[in-house]
Amino acid sequence: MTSSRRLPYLLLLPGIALLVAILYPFLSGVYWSFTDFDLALGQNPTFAGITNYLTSFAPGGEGLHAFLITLAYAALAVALQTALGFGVALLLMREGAHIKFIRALIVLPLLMPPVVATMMWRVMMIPDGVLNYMLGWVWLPPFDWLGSTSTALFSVVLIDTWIYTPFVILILLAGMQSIPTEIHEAARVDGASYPREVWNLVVPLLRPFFIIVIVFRGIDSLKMFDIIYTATRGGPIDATMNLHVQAYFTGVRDLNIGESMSFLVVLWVLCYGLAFVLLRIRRGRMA
Amino acid sequence: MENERRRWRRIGRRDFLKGVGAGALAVSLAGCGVDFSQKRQGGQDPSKVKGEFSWTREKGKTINLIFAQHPMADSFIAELPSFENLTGIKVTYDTLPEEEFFQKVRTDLSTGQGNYDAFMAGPPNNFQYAAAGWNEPLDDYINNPALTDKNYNVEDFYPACIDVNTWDPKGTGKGSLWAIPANEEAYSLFYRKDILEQAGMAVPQTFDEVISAAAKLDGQSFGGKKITGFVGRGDKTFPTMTGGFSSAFGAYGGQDVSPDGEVLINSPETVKAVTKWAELQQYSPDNVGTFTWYESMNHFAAGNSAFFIDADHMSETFENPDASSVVGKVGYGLPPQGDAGRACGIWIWSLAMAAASQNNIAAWLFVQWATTKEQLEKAIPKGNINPTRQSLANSDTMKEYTKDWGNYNEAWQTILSDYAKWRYIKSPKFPELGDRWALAIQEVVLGKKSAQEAMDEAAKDTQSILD
Repeated sequence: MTSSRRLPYLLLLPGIALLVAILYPFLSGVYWSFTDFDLALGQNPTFAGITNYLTSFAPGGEGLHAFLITLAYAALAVALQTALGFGVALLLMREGAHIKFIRALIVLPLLMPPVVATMMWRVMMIPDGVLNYMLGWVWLPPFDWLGSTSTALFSVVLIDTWIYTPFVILILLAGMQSIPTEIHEAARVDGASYPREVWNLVVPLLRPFFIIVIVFRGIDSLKMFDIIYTATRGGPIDATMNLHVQAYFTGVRDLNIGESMSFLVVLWVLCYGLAFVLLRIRRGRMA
Repeated sequence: MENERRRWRRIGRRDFLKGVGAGALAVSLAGCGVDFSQKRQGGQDPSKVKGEFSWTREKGKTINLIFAQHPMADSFIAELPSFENLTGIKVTYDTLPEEEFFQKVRTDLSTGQGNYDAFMAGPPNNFQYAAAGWNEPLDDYINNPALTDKNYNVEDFYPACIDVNTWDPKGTGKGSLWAIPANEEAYSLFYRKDILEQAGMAVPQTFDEVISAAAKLDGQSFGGKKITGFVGRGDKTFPTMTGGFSSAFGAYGGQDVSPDGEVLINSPETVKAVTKWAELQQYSPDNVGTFTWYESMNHFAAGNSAFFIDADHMSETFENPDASSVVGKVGYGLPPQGDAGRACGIWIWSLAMAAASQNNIAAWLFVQWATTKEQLEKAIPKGNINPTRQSLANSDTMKEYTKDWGNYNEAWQTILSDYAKWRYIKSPKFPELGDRWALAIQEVVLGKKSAQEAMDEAAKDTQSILD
């Protein structure tokens, strides 16, 4: 009896170990965000309450600025990629040998390391680069892609879009292929035009897939680091400085771990909030 | 049976998760009590070691080193077998790209692990590590005849190089030497001899002359290439402050922080320096805000610019036919003059030792060996320039290595002995302050704010970092 009493706990041990391994670093980080932990000073961290949050996220603070950039970046990237991905997925629903070829080709950007892809785009975006050269073909003036505060965020989102739209296409394409052809046929028999079919049939049926896309792309772009750091390091000035890059500069360069952790905790809340709300909506619908 | 299973389940899931969560929280909080202020003295006390100096004193020990990828590191690594033969000490080492290297060193030093006995360091690192008590002051090693060869001759190092690494974290007195300089750069005005000749212009001597020359040449074509008048680092991090900008900063008599801790970065002198630098940067490529030393160097080496102020030993790249289209066309000028004369900053790569090292004497033997005149001379043909020892500046090895580089070997010596100096506050907070000031310079260069406005704001922000 006693051995069968202990056995379940014993079997739980690996799970508990895993849980502790996840929670321990996380909770340490959260705790540090409430301290004045600064490696440069060589002192033990002392508890500082919400000082880090108050100073960084006050009006004019770098935390607040990074928070807004994070939201803008994610909103732009997700909107652009969902719209573009949906359009391309619709096109790829057609039949034909060339379509198969394009379906295979379209995942290429996803297979490239983001840092490499970004380096490539950085070269294309220099003032004398190939993008401005191509603008010249259609008599447009050169564009200062990454060098100006007013265009840098847009340019970085563009790179993100080039890399990650294929992901959206793949998910939505799988979704479209899961819609039974009978429904399409029924719609056509009832005389629905193609736009109507897309809007009233495909879009609602794809709802769970849109939610997956927004959750994954949303969280990914909220915590975007590699593309921004490679392209602009958060600049020019602070035009592309999101929470993650700001946390890196504060924590790793300036060694101010406490403040850096406060940025990351806010970022975590953002990501968790997004996933929580969207998955709630999804579950509500499904049930 | 059914009942029993259900009971297990009930206890198992809810309560268990709660219990584990609380447990993990408790463990985390306990773990946060790691002592970061402890004095990490490992190994032997250097002042108490007695006896004759001997390279084989620590025979049989093993030391572990870490380097950033750099010609200096390569030159030392290539010679490690001869160190092992000489001393009987076994050496293991890691080499990492610069950014990862800094992270790894910081992690190791801050946790007091002492995995690395000696490591490469730049000036702001010395200030950060020394303030935290992570690296070892070297005076007791150098001054102990049992530990330092009588031929080592520490006076041979350029005073400006020793000065960078000498610092008292408490701010009183001269302080200790924290690292031995092994590679030096100061900042030269690079100009294209062919372009100036073709345009019939003399080498500009003052910042105003450089500005007007850059304005005239900007956008013109030479050798089939449309060039920019100037190029300089424009990135928004502190290396922009320590690079070409340091020449303008010094030339106009700029000051960053007064001895009693008042931020002076918005003083009339500094604001003028920023104004002149921003004027010059108008003739740089439009995306100069993304240029670190690397992009700037490549821009100039590709023949895209008439003038460039940056690290003098970039000559290594400019005169290398595989990396440059301006071989033999570059003149190495002194930093331009401003209201307060000529000036420039300095950057040193050094070797430092971890305070937590258990093999500190063996590590010192390595640091000493690597920075002897003999080893630093062997490192020159492997690309470790400029040498930090005065006796090597005019050595045959250095003359031979730079013989095809125009006036290079005279220029760097004059710059180092007359104009180069660490020009900013020696503080563990320098990277943070420097990043903020560089950001302000970028705001001015990109025309977002006036120099006065940007520097006023930067002064306010950095004063609160310092206080």
